[in-house]
Amino acid sequence: MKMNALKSAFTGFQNRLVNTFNLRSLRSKFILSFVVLSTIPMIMLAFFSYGVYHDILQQNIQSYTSEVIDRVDRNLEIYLSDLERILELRNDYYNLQFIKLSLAGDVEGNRKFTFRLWENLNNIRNYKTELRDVSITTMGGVTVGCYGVTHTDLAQNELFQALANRTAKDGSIAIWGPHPDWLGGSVFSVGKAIHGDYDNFLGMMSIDVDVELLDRICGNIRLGKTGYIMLLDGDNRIIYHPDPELIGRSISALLGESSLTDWEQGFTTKMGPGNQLIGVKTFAPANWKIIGLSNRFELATEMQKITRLSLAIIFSTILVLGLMAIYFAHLLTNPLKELQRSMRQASEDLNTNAEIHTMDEIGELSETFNQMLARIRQLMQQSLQEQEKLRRTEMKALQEQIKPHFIYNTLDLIIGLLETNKNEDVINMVEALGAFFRTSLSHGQELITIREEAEHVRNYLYIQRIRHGDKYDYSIEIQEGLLNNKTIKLILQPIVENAIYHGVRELETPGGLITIKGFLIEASNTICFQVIDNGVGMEPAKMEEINACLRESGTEQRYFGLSNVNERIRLAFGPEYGLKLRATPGGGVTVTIKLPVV
Amino acid sequence: MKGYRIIYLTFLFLCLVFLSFISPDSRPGFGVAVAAGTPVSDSFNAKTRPIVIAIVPKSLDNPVFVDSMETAMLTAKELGVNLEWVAPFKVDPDLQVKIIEGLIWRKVDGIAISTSDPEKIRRVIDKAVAAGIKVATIDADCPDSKRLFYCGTDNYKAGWACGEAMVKIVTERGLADKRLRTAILTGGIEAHNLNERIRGFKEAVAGKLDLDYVALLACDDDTSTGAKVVEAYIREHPETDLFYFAGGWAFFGPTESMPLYQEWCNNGGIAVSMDTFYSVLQAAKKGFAQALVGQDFRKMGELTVKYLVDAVKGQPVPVEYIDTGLELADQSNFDRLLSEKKPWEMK
Repeated sequence: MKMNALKSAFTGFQNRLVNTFNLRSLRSKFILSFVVLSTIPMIMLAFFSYGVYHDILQQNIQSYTSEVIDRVDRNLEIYLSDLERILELRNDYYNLQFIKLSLAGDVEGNRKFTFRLWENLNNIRNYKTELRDVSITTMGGVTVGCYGVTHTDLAQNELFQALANRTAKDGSIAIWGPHPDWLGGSVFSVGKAIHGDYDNFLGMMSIDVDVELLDRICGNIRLGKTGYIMLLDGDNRIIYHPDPELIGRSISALLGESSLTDWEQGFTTKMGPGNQLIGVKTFAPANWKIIGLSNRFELATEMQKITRLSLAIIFSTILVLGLMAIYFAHLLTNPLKELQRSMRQASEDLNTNAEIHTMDEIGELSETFNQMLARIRQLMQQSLQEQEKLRRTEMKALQEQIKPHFIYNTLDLIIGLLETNKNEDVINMVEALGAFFRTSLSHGQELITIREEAEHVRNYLYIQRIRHGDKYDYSIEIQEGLLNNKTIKLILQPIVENAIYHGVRELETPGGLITIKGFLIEASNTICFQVIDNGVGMEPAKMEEINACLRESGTEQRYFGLSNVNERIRLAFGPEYGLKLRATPGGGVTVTIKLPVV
Repeated sequence: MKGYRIIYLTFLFLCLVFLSFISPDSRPGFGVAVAAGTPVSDSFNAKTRPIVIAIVPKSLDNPVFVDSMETAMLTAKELGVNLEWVAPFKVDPDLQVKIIEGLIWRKVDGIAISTSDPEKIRRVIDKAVAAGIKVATIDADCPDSKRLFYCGTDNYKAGWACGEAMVKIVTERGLADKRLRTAILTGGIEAHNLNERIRGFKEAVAGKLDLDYVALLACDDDTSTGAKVVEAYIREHPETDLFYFAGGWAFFGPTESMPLYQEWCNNGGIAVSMDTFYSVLQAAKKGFAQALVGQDFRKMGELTVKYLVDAVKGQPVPVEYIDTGLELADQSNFDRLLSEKKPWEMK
């Protein structure tokens, strides 16, 4: 049931399609099929490619953002490790001496170390251009740096506080986020604690790095056209942003409160407000966050370009395919149309030809069609000729039936019978003659029943036997079942005539017998007549000559009676039928006639 | 002499009165605040910390200031104030300006500056004064600025003393009637104190000697540069007759780096130099200079801090020009002075 419903729905759809698009011509179907079959895969391809490309593009942006953030992380780490190496100099003899003498208040003793430290610290500062100051700060708040000796308010110095609160074993660095230095610049400070011989905290060595460094590391990085990198400190304040005015402000002012949640230690990507793709990584040593911001609108713009390009390609391809389909349909259906026109013309006039010269199947079809037409014309011609020939042979056979001397002799015989008052015989004779001629004419019918043919030959034998006296006898033995079958007329009489005139009449003594048999050969479904006489017979060579003559067509001029019958049978039923002679055992000739069951 | 003393004291009194009127604290309309937008450091809140006095020498690498730093620190310690000693490592007037601006931002109480370029420093001195900071100059003055006082050598006098010493040596050698090719080594071309010394030198010899000033060499107050410049000049101009050193930079380092100059000296070259530091005395004793005129850097440090603290505390500064005096040296007292002084031993 379901299948039937489906089938009917499909048929309905098909019909609607045919009606809607007027798809009755092969050309329309071909064009539509061509366009649809080539467009659907393209649209599917475009659709899936769009999705895949979109995903790949997004992944690439994420991956690039992650890579960039990693690079920033590495650069910061490398820079920091360089500073860490510099800070390893904190336990230098001069540093320790300066701190100890400073804490002891030995101004005179410390002048040598102060002078030396200025030189050393300035040399260190010159290693890197971003270093603004390198200094040693004692627990007493005295700082010796690249610009001399100053006093530091230790309570306000986050770096110092961080290091002072660490144990002596903790030799790691501390970082103080961006803050102003006393020379009016903005710096971040990196420092390490200096401990005395008994692990007592003496002070710190610190390096002030110009925040310009962050701009050097992050400033030239662009994520797409408008994307950028920024840095946040542990309190989510912006410590680096391409727009200097935003430095120092909270990230929430830029991205909203929600963006601050669920940021993990490692790299994470999330969507921010304004369609921003945010990549975050924590720079662990300073607890800073490296944030990569890329604009998804750029992705959309990119995708719009691709969409426009795809649509342009699809529509131009459909246009080109449509034109190609029309061209190919024209190429394909024009010969068909020509063939159709030729066939229609051939249905009215066989003397026509399809003028198609393509090398394809249609060309071959056209050629075959032309051959078929030629064959039809030939067969028609042949049929006409054969009909003509048949009519001619029939006419000749009929002419043979009504030979004047046969009629004269018969009429003379009737006169003789009348003179001898054999009225009964005359009546029979006239009836037989009338029946004989009636059958011969048969109202122009070509086929008659075997019964009529048998009656015809019986009338003939009746007449001839009266003419020739009791010199011979005859019998007709035809299977009852065959009597209603059809045969062409006048086939037995000429054979019987030959059997009389060339067989039994030539016997020197009476006792001639002509037997006519009719039976069915079931194996070959063939009707077989045999006209058997026990007459004088014939020379085998002659018999062979006659048989050879019968096997060849068109030789009816010789042995006219046999040839005429043979020719008519073959014209009517085919060359496998016809006559054949053979000698009757014990003398005489047997003529076998083969006919189809009609 | 009495009359002069009265005039001098009257002048000093008038100066003090004048100074008290031009003090930013008291002068109405002069209370210009720090430039708008200039951030002020919280860590230097004057209410919660001791007095901070900052001394800004021309550079840190010049050892001549070491004595001043030492006495300044000792004085500060005595007075219970914090002393800061800040400067560019090498002479750099622009950076010196930046450092002074940093001190203004930190709102230190007093600043003493050794001016490396008066034109550049004057503006920032005035800015500091406007910000309520007591500003003085030390070692190198900045004329026409609003500084409270200058503490240091009277450089003109020092130059004059050098000139007189030169006249004496040349005359003793019987060369006073000859025209003598004279080269001068200074620190910075723009340094006011050095220019004053040169002016004093030239005016002291004028009319007494016939000097042809053939070269004015500068070494940016750098000791090794001083030695190199002199050595290179003598290589090119061994015919030079006299050399005047406006500062002793060339002799702060080992004198072995100046063999040509030594040869020039041995061949009769006459040199007079400022400064009587231990290394300069050593060089002079070897013949690198025939006479020296020294400054008292220890006194400079001590007095600068003392008067600045006084000023911060609102006490008057006795004079605007605090002369720390001169020290003359020649072959007669080289040994004594060497025994009294100690080497820097910075390296």
